[in-house]
Amino acid sequence: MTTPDFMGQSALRGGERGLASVAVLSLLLLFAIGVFVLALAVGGLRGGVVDLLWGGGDPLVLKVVLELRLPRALGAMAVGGLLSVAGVLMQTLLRNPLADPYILGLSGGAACGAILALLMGLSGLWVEGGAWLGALLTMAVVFWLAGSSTGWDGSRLLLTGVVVASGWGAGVSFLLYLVPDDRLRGALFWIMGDLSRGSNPLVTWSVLGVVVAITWPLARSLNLLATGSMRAAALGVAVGPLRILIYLLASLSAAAAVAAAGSIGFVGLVTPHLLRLLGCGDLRVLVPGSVLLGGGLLTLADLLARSVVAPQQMPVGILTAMLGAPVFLWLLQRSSR
Amino acid sequence: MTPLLELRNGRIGVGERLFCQALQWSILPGQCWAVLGPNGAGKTTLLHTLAGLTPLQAGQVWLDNQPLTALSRRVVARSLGILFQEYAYHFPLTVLETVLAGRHPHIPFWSFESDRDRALSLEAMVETGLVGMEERLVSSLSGGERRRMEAAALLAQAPKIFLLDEPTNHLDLNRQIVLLDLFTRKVRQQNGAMVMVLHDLNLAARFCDHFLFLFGTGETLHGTREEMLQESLLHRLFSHPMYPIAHGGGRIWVPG
Repeated sequence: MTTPDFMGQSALRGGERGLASVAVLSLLLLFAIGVFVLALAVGGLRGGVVDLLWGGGDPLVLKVVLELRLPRALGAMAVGGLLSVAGVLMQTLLRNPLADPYILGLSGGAACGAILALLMGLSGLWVEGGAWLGALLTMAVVFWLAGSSTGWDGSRLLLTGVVVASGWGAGVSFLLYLVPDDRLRGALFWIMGDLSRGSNPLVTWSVLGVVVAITWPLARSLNLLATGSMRAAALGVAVGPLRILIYLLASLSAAAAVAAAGSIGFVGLVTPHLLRLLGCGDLRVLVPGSVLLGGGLLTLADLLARSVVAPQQMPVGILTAMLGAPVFLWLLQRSSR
Repeated sequence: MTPLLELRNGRIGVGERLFCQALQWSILPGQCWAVLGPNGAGKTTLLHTLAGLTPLQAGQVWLDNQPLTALSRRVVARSLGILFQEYAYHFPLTVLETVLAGRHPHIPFWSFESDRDRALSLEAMVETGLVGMEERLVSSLSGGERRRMEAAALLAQAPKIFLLDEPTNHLDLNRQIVLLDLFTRKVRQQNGAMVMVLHDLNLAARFCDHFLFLFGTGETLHGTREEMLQESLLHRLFSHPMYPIAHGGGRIWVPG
């Protein structure tokens, strides 16, 4: 798999790079805040949201905003951020621009765990627990298999993960075949990705906070890791421990995202590339930038998913792929000229 | 004089193949070494071992009178730098970013690159003839330009010991000489040392005062240029006859 040249045709150049990074991050922050406010304001129950700001307004609207829209927007923001940071880390760790958060099989493991819980007649937190269990099991298995003999070269890890992922894929199909019709919808959730289930945002936000807090200070070392283990080691990076840490953080991010919202495609793969297209390839910008952009994009997508077919709700995972693919291809075309 | 870099009782090999055993090798300040040998004789593995990137089968590498394994990678990278034979570029990077990355071991954990780091990187780019290419993407460079950028990153790292793996790859004749001249000058200035793997015997003879031969069988020989550059030895090393031709007070080696 070779690297296409397109990704670096950046618009931002020159000595003002530092300033440009700050500008990009500020814009992304504004975007994320804007989308977040929009997600609180827009919905089936129209009007009266502005009144809430002045202490007045309809108590029913307040209830809807605080108890339905706020947790959902918070969840979407965190899941989008987790997926994007997991994408950045997986791409760096595997030195492969095609890597996404699920490439090492975490989503398959989570889906299997969750559907198995459904099959056993469990519900609610138990199902989410099943997803966590599946994801963590996958994380441990891939780690153990890939690390056992040759000490973790990138391609071995990738291959191990991809094979484990396809194994889980077969497992998911088999379980879906067994699932009785009345529970099929709940099972499909884990494959399509959906934010309507209302997982506790506290968990996702905590994981996101921990991952970003550990990753950001290491970003300069990660820049080197992306150029190769040997080169990074020659320039003073303790490659072995760093790779293990990044594997754990990336997996944890992906696991938290999947357990909360199923496997939402595309966000984790594309967000880092969108930022690279903007010239933000430095991980010191890429890490916080993709959290903001990914969080914002997913919140926006979820807003659309619950608005376009209202009062029906579409799983957001369908929308991210439906919109994400053409938008990314368009950007790609534009930038390669 | 204490050696800058030392291999003590070194046994190096990959799988079944043995490159050297019980090798005692001291690299003293001011010395420029050339490592010669046929393909697959372990030249690159030897360099990686000296840099602490590949473990030895037996023995130890000593850096500044300390076992290399006892030092952190960061400390090692401040006094020892390596130019790899090949690099891969998976993600878009500019030339300046790549050169600036050479400063990594000198930048404190919580800091960004300082003006000094930037100045040293730009200086390295001047020395390697890359002025004006700061914002070019690495993917847009020619092979020779890329090689010079990699050399510039090593110069920005400013180690005392340079390990160079086929540094002249992709360079035109003039640039080959300019680059090796640059590195040997740095070695003299800071009383450092250089070990390079090279396939061009005449370039090696021009810039190196010491030679290490890897025969590919586990046998090694090392010594001064005068001791090592002899017809019979070179014939055995390359499995091909080599003849000296007198030229301008020196000798040029040609394959028979």
